[in-house]
Formats: sequence, C-alpha cells, structure tokens
Amino acid sequence: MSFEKKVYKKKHLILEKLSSPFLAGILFILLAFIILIGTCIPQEPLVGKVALVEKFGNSYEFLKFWGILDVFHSWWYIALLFLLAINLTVVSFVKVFPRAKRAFSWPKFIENELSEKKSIKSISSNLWNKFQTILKRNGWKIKVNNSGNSLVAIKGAYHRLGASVTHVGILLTMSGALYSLLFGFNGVVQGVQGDRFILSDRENSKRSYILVETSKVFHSPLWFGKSPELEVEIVDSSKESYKDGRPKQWTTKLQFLNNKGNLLADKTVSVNNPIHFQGVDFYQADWKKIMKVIFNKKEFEIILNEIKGNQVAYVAPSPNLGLLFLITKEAPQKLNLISVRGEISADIFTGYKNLMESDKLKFLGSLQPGEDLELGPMNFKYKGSFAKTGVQYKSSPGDWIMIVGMCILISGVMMAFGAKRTIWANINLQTNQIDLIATSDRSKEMFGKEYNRLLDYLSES
Amino acid sequence: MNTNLESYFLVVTLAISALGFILFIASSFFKLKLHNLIQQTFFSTCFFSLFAILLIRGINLQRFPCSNLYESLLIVALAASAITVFFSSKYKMHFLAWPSSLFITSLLAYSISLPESQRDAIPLIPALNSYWRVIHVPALLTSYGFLTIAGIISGFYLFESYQTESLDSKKKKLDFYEECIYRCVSFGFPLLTFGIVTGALWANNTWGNLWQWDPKENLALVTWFIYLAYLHLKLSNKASTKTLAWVNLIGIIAIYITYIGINQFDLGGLHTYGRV
Repeated sequence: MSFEKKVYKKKHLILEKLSSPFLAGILFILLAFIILIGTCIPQEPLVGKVALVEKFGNSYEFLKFWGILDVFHSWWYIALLFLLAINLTVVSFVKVFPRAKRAFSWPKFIENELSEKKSIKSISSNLWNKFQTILKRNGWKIKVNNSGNSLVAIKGAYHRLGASVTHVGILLTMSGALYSLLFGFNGVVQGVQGDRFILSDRENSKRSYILVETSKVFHSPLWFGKSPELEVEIVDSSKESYKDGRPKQWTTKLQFLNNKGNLLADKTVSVNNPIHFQGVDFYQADWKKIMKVIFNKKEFEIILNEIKGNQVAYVAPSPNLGLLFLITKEAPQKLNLISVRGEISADIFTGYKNLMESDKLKFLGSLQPGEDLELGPMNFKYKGSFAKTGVQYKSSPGDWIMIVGMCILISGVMMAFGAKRTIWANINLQTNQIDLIATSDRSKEMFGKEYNRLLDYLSES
Repeated sequence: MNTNLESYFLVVTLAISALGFILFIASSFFKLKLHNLIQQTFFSTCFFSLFAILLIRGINLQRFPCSNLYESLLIVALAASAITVFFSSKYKMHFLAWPSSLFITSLLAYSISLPESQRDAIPLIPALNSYWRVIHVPALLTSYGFLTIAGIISGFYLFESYQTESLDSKKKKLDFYEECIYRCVSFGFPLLTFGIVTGALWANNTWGNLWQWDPKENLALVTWFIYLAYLHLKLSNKASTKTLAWVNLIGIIAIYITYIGINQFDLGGLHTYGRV
C-alpha cells in the first residue's frame, strides 16, 4: 500500500471515529453525569470558598484540585465540551450535510417491478387523472415518466433537512459562544450616587483604572477584544415597591462620558430592561440600602434592611452587647442608635416601638449625616444612608450569532419531526388497474391510515 | 370573592378528574368500551374548568398567572387535559384516559396541598416581570405535559412487552404504542427546546448571561440530552424499542427532578420561585 493510501485510510478512520454516533452518545451521557455532579455538589462560584471549606474541611484542597468544586470551569469539562464540538462539527460535514442534498432528490420510478411488490394495492385505471389531482390538492409533488404510465409522488421532503438545519443551528450557537469568549468581557460594579467607573482593561488604559474599587473586568485568558474607554457615572438609583413593601423594580440612572469627560448619553437601566451603549450591555444587578459610618477613624458600610418602611441594621460586637441602627420612615435623615444588652429575638426589628420600653434597650442618641457621637472610648460618625446599586456590564459580540443559531436550532428540531412520504403508481396494462405502493420514513402507522383513507376515497368515487 | 370562586372551581375540577379516573380505570379493568364522547367530555370539562381558574386568577392578579409552583401545576394539568383530548380524538389513543386522569388528579391534589405561601396571589418580583415569562414558562410546562404522556405510554409499552399474548395482536399493540410515544415526543421535544432557548434569552435579558450553570438550567440540559439520545437512537435504529421506552422513563424522571425536585431538594440557584 502506498504512503498516500495509508495516510488517506488513517485520515478516513479518524474522521469515521470522530463522527460516530457512539462517541456522541458517550459524550451526552458523560456530560449529563458531570452536569449532575455540578448540580448536586455546591460550586465555589455560587456559594463561595468559606462555605465549602466549612463543608468539606480537609478534603477541600483535594476536591478543588480535581475541579469538583468548580466543575463547569474545570479543564476536563471544557475538554469534553471541546470533544463534543469536534464530534458535532465532523458529523455535520461528513454525515449530516451530505444527506441534506438527498432530501429533495426524486426517487426512481418503479415501472415493471412494481407488480412484484408485496404491499401492492390497486385501483381502477380510470382514476389515474383524479388520483393525480387529489394528490396535488393534498400537497403532494408529482413526477410522471415520459410514457405517462408511471408516477412517483413525494410529500414532506423538507423534513429530511431537519437534522442539517439543527446542526447548523448548534454550530452557529457554538461559534457565537467562541467569538464572545475570545472578544467579549464582563464585570460588575457596585456604587452609590456619584460614583464613577471606567470600562477599560488595566494594562491598556491611559487613565486610572477604575474609580470604584469593587470593579474588575473579566475576560478569557486568550483574549483579542478591546474594551471602550468609557466612563460611567451612577447618577441616581431607586427602588419602587408594591403597597405591601415587596420590591417591584430597581432602577439606576447612568451617565456615559468619553475619555475627555464629555457627556455622551444619559440612560436608565432596570431589571429586565438592560441598555446597550457602544457595544456594551448594562444590566441592573443587586440593589441594597447601606449606611456609611466611621468607627474610630475607620470607615464601614452597613447594610440596612427594610422592615415596614423603616431601615434597620443590627451589629453585635460581643454576644451580650449589640447596636441597633434605626432610620424611621417618618424621619429619614436621622439615624437612631440603640444599645441592646443580652440576647434578642428577630422581632426586635418589627416591634421596636414596644421594645423601646424594655430594659434590654437603651437609646444612645440620634445623628444627622456628618454628625458624630462619643460612645465611651469609641468615636462614632454617621456619614449618611445611600442606595448602593449593582451595575453589571458585558460585551458579548457573539450574542447575535448565538441568537440566530438558537432560532435555527428550534426550526431544525421542529422540521425534523415530520416524515417524508413517497407513493409509486403504475398503470398495469394487463389488469387495467393502477398498482400502488407507498412508504414513509417515520410514523408508518399514521401514514398507513392516511394512505388507506386516500385509497378508500378514490375507490368510492 | 374571586379567590372563593377559584377554590370552588379547583375542588370541582379535582372531583371531576378523580371521578373520571375511577370510571376509566373501572372500564379498563372490566374491559368495558366507553363511548369516546364520554372521555372527550370529561377531559374537555377539566380543560375549561382549569382555564376558568387561571382566568379568574389572571383577572385577580392583572397578569398572566405563571409565577409560582401552584400556578405552574395548573398549567401542566391544563396542558395534559388538552393533549389527552387532542390525542384521543386525532390518533385514537383512548387507552390514555385513566393514566391521564390520574396524572391530572395528582397534579391538582398536589396543588391543593401546597402551603399558602406557594398559593397566595402575590405581586411579581422584578426578575419575573417580563414578557419572556409568558413565552418561556407555558412552552416548557406544555412540553412537560407531552413528555409525561410519552412516559406513561412507555410504561404501557414495557408492561405489554412483558405480557404473554399472541404474537400478532401484541406486535400490533406495541407498534401502536411506539408510534404514540414518538408522536408525543415529536410535539414535546421541540417545545422543550423552544422553552430552554427562550429561557436562555430571558436570562440574557435579566441576568446578563445566556447560561449561568444554575441547577435548574443544568437539569433542563440533562433532560434535553436524554431526549436527544432517544431521538438519535430512534432515528439511527441502533436500539430496541424496549430500550427507547426505558430512555423515555428516565426522561420523565429528569423532567420532574428539574421541575419539582430542584426546589424540593433545595439545590438553590436562581430559579427558586417554586420553593415550597
């Protein structure tokens, strides 16, 4: 065997293996199993490191090393996805797409051999023209031979394209995801009114990277994208509530400025209403009310909980001593400080007015923003309460490819479920009858009934 | 008043489906042939009664009612009644009557047993306040209806295939079941795909990502893989119909872990609206 032939044979064998439905089946099962592991075992990106160290103790490092605690970013999971992508691509080009060509090809006439078929049925030859008319009326495509005594009719041939269309959809979706991975980026910032942040990667930016400390742009290690030098300011943020106090909507007003600080646009983002600006999507992320305080010259942010329209926070420096911070809806500018001795139950937040009479609580004083208070050896300064909003941003240039891919995928799946049906008919000159046979690639039982109904109708007429 | 009317309709629907189940199982046991019209009337009544419940609730809430487990169970029951009417009239699948009525009765009994927190008509949280809810949720719930019925027929198939009967009649019956399963999957799988894809688009709009590897998303993908395996095996003729019936039964387990199990087992994630 020549070298070229050997190479050709080997190449063929590799393609055959990579396009095998068996490999696809194994990969489906493996991926399903891994996804189940990733669902049942708590994952670090979702619950955080602390919770996992607490749960797994000494085994944490071992599980982390093997990617069990972050399955969906582990090298072996990505390798399996990559193998599935290769399998899908190869099977599409080697097996699925070539079959699409055959979807609309006409089957051969079965002229003389038809009478030898087992499942042959017959009707009177007088019905030849009527038979064709009825077939056409029912959406069949007909081809008659040159002699005019043999026909072949097909219906639903486009269903054969289903697999190809589905595979095109999946390949497009994967391409979009890859494109976004290589060129996209994302991140989240949390800030209060007046905070600004710059969307720019740290190395390339000529300006200070970010004005809000919590922001960080994430992108894949292999990245060819570029983030726009766009400055964003949180102008205002608010929460809309239903009558019963449940949140109805969170809204953030943003201002976009160019790298010279000139205003480009004013936009408002809210949950389910993202905005798109200069290739970047901005989303409303988590929202909370906080207060900024200074304890002995150190600044802290404390989250305020809304209870019956009042803003409440509780800090317990020791098991027997706590500090209750209260901003009432009647006086939203004033912060009330209450010390709590001993253990308290959760209803302290709801029934605070009655509890004020309790000997466990002691009113320490009220503060306006900017005022301070001496608490024994401690100095406490209240800076004010603020709405802290989360703004998520992302550039995902492959999204539109993925969306088109998904639409094609749905269409393909829908198309794939029909059946291609074929009828062959000949005029038998010996019996003066029309001999018929029919087949359907799927749903044979249903097609059998439809076919019999058609023949009954013709026979009756 | 509306809430009372809704509860009244719910109890009546439960009674009708339970009565239907007793009637259909008795007729099946004693091999009595019930007139098709009786079946159709039962399931149509269930359908219109469930439709009325959802309509009353929708008017009460001023929105499409599909935001918690209770409402979703009603939609699955509604879909199951419509599917049974459709299949038994178009494809003569009369044998579906008793398992379908049992399925609907179970769904309604479960919905009634839910705690108040899951049944209360409460306003929508911001993430659910989207037009995608009306597209994504009903598509998935209807697919669950179709695929559950495919699973039920798979159970029939496996039961029959282990019975000793004359070969001809058995084969005919099994072929019919096989075709019925494929019919149900051929409606259910595209809807499942549509539901997963529209869910991804909604997630992109709300959470800024098409896919978050959230437990519910993961299990929906696992379910999709299972039905994908069924179709590949079916279309490539590489597996016996018995194997295909087992794959369908595994599919049905995956569906109910995705739908109810995630919140029952408290696996967390972003889809916690149905937590009991």
